[in-house]
Amino acid sequence: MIALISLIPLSSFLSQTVGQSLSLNRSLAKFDYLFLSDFYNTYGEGVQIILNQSIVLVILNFLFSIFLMGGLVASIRKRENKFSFNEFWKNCAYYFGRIFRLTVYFLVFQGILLGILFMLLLANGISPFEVESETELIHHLNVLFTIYLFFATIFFMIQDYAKIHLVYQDKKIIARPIYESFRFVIKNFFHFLFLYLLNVATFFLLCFVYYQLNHLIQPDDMTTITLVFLLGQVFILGRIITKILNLASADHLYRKTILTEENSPQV
Amino acid sequence: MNQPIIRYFICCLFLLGSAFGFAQSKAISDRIANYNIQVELDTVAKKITASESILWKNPSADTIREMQFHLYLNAFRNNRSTFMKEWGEIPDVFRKNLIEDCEWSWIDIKKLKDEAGNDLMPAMSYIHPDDDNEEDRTVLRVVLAEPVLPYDSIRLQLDWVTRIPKTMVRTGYNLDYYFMAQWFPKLGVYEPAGMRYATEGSWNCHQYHAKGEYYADFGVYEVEINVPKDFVVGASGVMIDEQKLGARDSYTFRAEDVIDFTWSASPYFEEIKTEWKGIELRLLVYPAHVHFAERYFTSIKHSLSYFETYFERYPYPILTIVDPPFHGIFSTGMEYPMLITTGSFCLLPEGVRTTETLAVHEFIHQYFMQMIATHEQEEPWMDEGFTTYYEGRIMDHYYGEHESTVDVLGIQFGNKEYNRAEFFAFPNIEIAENARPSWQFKHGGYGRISYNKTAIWLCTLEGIIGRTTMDEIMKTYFQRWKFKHPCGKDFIAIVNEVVQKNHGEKFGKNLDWFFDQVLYGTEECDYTVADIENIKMINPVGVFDDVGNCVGETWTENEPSSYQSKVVLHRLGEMMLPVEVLIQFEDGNTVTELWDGKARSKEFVYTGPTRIACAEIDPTRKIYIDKNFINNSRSTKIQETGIRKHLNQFMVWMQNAMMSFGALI
Repeated sequence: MIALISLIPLSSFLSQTVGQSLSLNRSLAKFDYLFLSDFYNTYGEGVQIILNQSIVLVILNFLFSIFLMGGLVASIRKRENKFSFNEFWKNCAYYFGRIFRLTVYFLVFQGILLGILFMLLLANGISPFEVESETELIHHLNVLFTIYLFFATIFFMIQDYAKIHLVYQDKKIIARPIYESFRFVIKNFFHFLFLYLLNVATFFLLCFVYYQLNHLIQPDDMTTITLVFLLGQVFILGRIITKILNLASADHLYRKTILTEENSPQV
Repeated sequence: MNQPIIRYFICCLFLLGSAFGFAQSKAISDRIANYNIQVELDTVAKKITASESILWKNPSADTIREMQFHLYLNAFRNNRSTFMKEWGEIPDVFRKNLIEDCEWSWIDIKKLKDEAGNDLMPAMSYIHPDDDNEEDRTVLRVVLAEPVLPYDSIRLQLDWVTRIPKTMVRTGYNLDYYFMAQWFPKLGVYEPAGMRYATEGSWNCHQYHAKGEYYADFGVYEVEINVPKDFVVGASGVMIDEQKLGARDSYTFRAEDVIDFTWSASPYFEEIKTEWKGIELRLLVYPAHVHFAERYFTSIKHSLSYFETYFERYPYPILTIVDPPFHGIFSTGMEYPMLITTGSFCLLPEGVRTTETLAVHEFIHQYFMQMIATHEQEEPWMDEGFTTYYEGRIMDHYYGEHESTVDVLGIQFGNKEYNRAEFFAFPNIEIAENARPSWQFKHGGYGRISYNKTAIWLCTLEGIIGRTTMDEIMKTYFQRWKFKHPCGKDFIAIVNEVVQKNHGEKFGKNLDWFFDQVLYGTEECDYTVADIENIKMINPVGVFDDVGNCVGETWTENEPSSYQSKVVLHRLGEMMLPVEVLIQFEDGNTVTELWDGKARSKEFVYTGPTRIACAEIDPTRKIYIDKNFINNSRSTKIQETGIRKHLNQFMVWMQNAMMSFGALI
């Protein structure tokens, strides 16, 4: 819905600038570089305004998604109960502040991680005048990227379980859920990692299928354009579903693990 | 006479003849400046010690009393040289080398004598013909002890030492890679009155500027290069001798009828050879880039074939291609006689053809300015622009008009269209005229105007006069000026000559009006279809002779309609070029009109039973210099399908961007 808002100025802009040009329909058949370059060179300032507006919309959507996250996690937690929109919005508002802070904290963690790795990269040298060949540079990048992937995966897992902890324990201070989810993830690392990778694999499978289907259709008339658009919407829906699936499966594993720990004999 | 003795005598004659022929093949240029250099590379001190003998022939009826030399490497002697001042603030990547490690470069002449043994060192002085910068030492003037009489020659002997720069512009070393360009004291060009723009005989020897390249006379170079053992050496010309001297190796190269000599050395070069119709292609490449060999050879062979078809066969016996290593990136993308440097990146996919583009571009320079030796500083458009034009022709011909440069994941564009887009993306394309000398592009535009703009107006010229005439012009230009030094007016004269021959006065008495705009002016070209009007015609209505009789509309539904239809065109830019206009009616009929493109606006009016559906200026895109093809056409209907497609694409991208950011929550 928010994306739709960005279309209004763009539609008007396109109609007024290039709407009656034959180049527009000629660019249907294939990637038309001449059209795109002339469009950007001539009308670039207008495009930039729309892009800036779009960035604002992306940020607003980001905040809105944070808002929705609390309601989503709470609904998953109480999935045995009948779903109520009232309850959902109430939980969105209730958990918004904490989910927002949690998101900011993890963005900072990711930033620190990237910063450290970037410093390591600089220490090895990135200038072409400092390295023997680009294969050396690529090797460094591969190593650092692997390290990033490993730690980022852990961060994302901890973040998911921190959200669940937060809702389950309903604590105001979020440092505790973060700490407990960290312990929780490390203690049950391989279970959680396996589930996380399974969810990631599901997402990539979705992307692969979408990419293949998208390339089968050439959008050069109203029918095929509509078809490609609908396919895009199905893909977006798929992404939303995989996200909910990710949270739901994490919640299920969390419950199962808690239950197992509670039932395991005390030493 | 004894048979064996006769046979022996004949063999000796044959060997002598071969040696003589090898040493001195038939000259294809005037061979004015000839160099014999012995050079030793010191990889520890990063220096070159050399002994140079120059044989210079006076090409004029003038008596020459002085000689002028380029000492290019003195441009990197300190930050007060003209080159460094024009470069501006020293880029960070060079600061460590230059300022912290003090790795400046210089040429120091130790000895300079003429063949009579006169010491010319006291007669040396640095001059500054371009900017009076007393601290610039890139042009050396030597007053001769004895003048050189008309058409006579002089031999000079120099000994000199150079400190090799580390990773400097186009030349230098890094780690074990050495690329030596503009490395020796090189004579300027003596231009007698009437040559190019010279009104009186004088030396043409500019200082080394941050923008712009080189200019020199043709001659024979024989260079003996002494390097540490196991260094592989590539150079302009053919290797005629190789000696293993224990801890060092010596390679002698000979290049005939060339304007320069460049060489490169590294112990890590791998040598890959092939040939094309007897021409040796020698690739020197580091191991990380060996897999590019086939791509290089294919693109070079395409270029050789193309130029043989449209001009003449490449006249030299060899072409050496140096693919610099990553740490030698400072030397990529340059052209020297019989040697070019390209550039690649080990992970570059097949569909990204920057490697091929560079190889083709640098090869084309063998014709435009290694053979047609235009002045790269005074008229950079004549080599860079022509080369870019043919780069587009070759790349689009062999790799596809719309995918020759990039064809990856559905993104495609060709070379010619990329060059055009790159030019029009420049913030101020009117900043300077095309004909400006390179160092006078003080506020930007040198690359885009010399390279891209020239190529675009050459495409436009081709569009106006036709490919056949264009090819005849270029071939005539090449045949008439190969191994000489033409200037812009020489090229224009040939254009006028050939166009007149083929088309009479169809485009006017000459094409000066074209060059006045594209080359000597800064005008932009932009035509647009401003409006389409379709007015249904009705019978005359109103009051006429009889004021008591008001005539009304008499049209009935059964009567066929009649329309007055009008197309209005505007000239938005200052450039005036003849254009074709295609008008299409709703019944499918079309009309093609010609407009001289001069007035600010123009209309075409039609009366008939059908309305105009759409109109397009220059439908076949002959006027490639038009900055906006989108406004060249207009339909009476909004192109809903196109708008819908772009809107849908944008929406899906936005949604995906939002979802991707949402993954951070």
